[in-house]
Amino acid sequence: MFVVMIFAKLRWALLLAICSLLMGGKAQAESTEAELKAAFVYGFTKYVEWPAETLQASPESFELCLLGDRNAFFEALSDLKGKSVKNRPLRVREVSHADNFKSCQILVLTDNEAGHFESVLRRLSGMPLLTVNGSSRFLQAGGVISLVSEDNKMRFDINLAAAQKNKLVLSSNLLKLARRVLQP
Amino acid sequence: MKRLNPRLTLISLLLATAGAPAAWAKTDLTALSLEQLLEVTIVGASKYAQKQDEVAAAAVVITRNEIKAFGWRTLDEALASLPGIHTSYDRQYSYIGTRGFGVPGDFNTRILLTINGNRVNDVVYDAAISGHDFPLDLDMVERIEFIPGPGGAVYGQNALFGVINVVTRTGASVNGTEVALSYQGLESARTGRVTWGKLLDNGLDVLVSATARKSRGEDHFYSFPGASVDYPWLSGESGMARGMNGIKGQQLFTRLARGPWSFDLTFGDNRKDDPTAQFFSEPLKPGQYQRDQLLLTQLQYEDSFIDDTLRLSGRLFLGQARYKGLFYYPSPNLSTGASNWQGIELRLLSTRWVGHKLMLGLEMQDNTRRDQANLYPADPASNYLLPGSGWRGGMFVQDEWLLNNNLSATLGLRFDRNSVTGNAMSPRAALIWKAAPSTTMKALYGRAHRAPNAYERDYDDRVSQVANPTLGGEAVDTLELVLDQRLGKDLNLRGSLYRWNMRDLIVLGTDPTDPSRTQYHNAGDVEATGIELSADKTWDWGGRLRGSLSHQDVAYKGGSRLDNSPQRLGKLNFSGPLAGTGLRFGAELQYTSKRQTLDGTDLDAYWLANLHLGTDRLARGLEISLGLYNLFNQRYAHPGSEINWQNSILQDGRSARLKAIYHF
Repeated sequence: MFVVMIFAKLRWALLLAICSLLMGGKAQAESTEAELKAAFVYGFTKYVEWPAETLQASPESFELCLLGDRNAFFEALSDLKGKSVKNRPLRVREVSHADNFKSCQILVLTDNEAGHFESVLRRLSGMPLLTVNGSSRFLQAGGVISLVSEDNKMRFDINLAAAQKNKLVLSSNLLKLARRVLQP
Repeated sequence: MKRLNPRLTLISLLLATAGAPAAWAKTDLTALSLEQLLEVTIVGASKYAQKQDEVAAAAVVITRNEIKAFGWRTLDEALASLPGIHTSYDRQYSYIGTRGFGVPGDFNTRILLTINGNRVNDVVYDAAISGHDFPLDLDMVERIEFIPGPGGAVYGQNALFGVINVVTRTGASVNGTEVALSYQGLESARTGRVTWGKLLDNGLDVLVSATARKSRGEDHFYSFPGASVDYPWLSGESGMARGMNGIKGQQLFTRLARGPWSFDLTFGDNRKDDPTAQFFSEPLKPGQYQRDQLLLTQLQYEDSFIDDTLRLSGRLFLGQARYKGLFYYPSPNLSTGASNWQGIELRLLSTRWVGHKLMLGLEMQDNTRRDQANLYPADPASNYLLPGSGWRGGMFVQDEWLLNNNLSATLGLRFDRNSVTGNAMSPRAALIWKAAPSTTMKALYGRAHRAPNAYERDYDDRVSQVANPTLGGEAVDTLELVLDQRLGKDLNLRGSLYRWNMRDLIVLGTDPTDPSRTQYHNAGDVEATGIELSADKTWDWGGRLRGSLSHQDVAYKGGSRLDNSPQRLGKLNFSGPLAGTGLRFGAELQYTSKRQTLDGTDLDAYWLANLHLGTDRLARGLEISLGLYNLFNQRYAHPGSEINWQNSILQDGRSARLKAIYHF
């Protein structure tokens, strides 16, 4: 029996060795879902125009607010702090339901907030805020961008009516790259 | 337990070998344009992994990416990669053993299996069907959640050793049409699937999927030893069972969702030919089969009220199960089971009081039909009908109480009442301590009950099995300590130490008045202690290695060992991209130590390896994959049960499956 075990180990080691050999080469463009989603959120800022008065209200920083569980996505977004957005440093902070979100430019809701989408977004409607989450229900509830994974790739959907209501101008390139745009 | 060491060395060796490519530079994603980001492939730990340290159990999640990477064909194959799980197959049904418990032929009655929260366990057999007869195509699964340990305090009946919830994909995730075809050699299994899904402009998410399968199955040599008292002329045969191992199956899945509402319908119809002549029927007689049809539907509602402090979820459900088995003695005998059930479940979650998550639940299920029958087409006068019905209801309350920033307690209690065994209480208590940002410790206690099902208590064919109207319920108490440790960003370690104690275990034994017949009994108490160690490592280049070792000591209160209870299990799952090839591999290795069979002898320990290679989406939406199962052609067997002629049942040898998915 023991001999069989040894053999199985050797075979496995051999298999691994072959795999490792095959894997030599250039690094692939791959990442965890959380990191990729965070990069998308950062990328969106280059395609979205906020009303001038909102940006003037906080000239020192660009505010990314997080509502929900401290999950991996949350951590990855926190790693973005200090990056430059609209020529000012990005500040990342956690907010609660009690917050009025007035000083936020982007609000990211994590998935465990799914039960609260309607009520949170109802309160925000019309505020110059880019709201982001990863579920299709989010858009129906009045969210602006929904980030979803599809076959190991990240895709995003846009609710154009919600964006317009929030006085955000989305570039036509952003709309072209979206998987789906809910028209007003 | 000190004998675990050799395999720990193996794990560390593998970590060292496979860790070599990890030194690759990591791309700064924020430097990429949106166009480039759209091309980046997602890999690594599931998005739910981070939340698992808050769950009052050693919960694990299997994602769709893993199902694709390893080419798992059935639910039990996916579950077999998890710590402490040992599966077995008797050429008719698949059985999921957990933490050393796997009474042969128990139809997975001690596990609660749900699809989007809707029970799969029927009401005649309590069966959590998890093999080729599982009614959902694995391609339609988004993730599988496994919560080991007793879930009775929330879920009631069946949740003794774990709760498995299978979450389906949505129309938005399919987004178009998918056609899948696969062929598996040796057993010449053919599968075809067509799926259409979309998130419509009006916000309605639609998914429809249909699958058809046909398999000839491998031919094996079977012997039919022993003397059947009722049919002595049937005994002592042996031979090749040719063309008696086929499968014919269809699956249909539909899901509609809009806003807080969702509806889903799952239907499976599976017919498996029987080469083993179960229930001591005529050996090597072609045409014997067992067929299961299962229909599950539910309408769900989930929304929040009162400034989000109150979350309501409710569901109405309806299920139907039909079983039919054809056996020859040598005149034909049709055994049937039919159940219809419907019910309602309500859950309220309140966060109104600071530091408390209060949950209240209510569940009612009316088993309007619970019929069993034995029909003799050649002799209708002998037909034997066992009509029945019943009900069960339960209510529970649970509070997750945040004692301070690092310490929380979960206290829960469920009260169940049913038409078979009356009342039962299932308590649970847990303490979760975040000792450090990367260290979580959990202490868990729980109790779960199960009332005997109609098959165990009432089934009586007057030939091979007799009823036991005095059969009572069984209960399990479990104590568990869990340590979760994260090392760096991408290595998670978990250790779990547990003890479970089962009282009045229901097992199939022999009728004391006639040893040629079987009968279910409350067989006494079982005690178990065990340890599970697991590690999960991901790399920036896209690789993931997870492995686990478990050791369990399980015995009846007098010291005798349990059948089909391996003492040691090892699992190793390695997946990732093959650089420069556009291919992704998934390799798995599983070790199962010896298992005791019904006649008291042990089956050999075995290693099982599977290898799977798949392309990312090729041009024009085509994906191709090749799976090699039982790579080293390991010869191994699983224990038979009281209804089998055979003491052990030989499993499949090496086979290859080619699969193509076209998306448009």
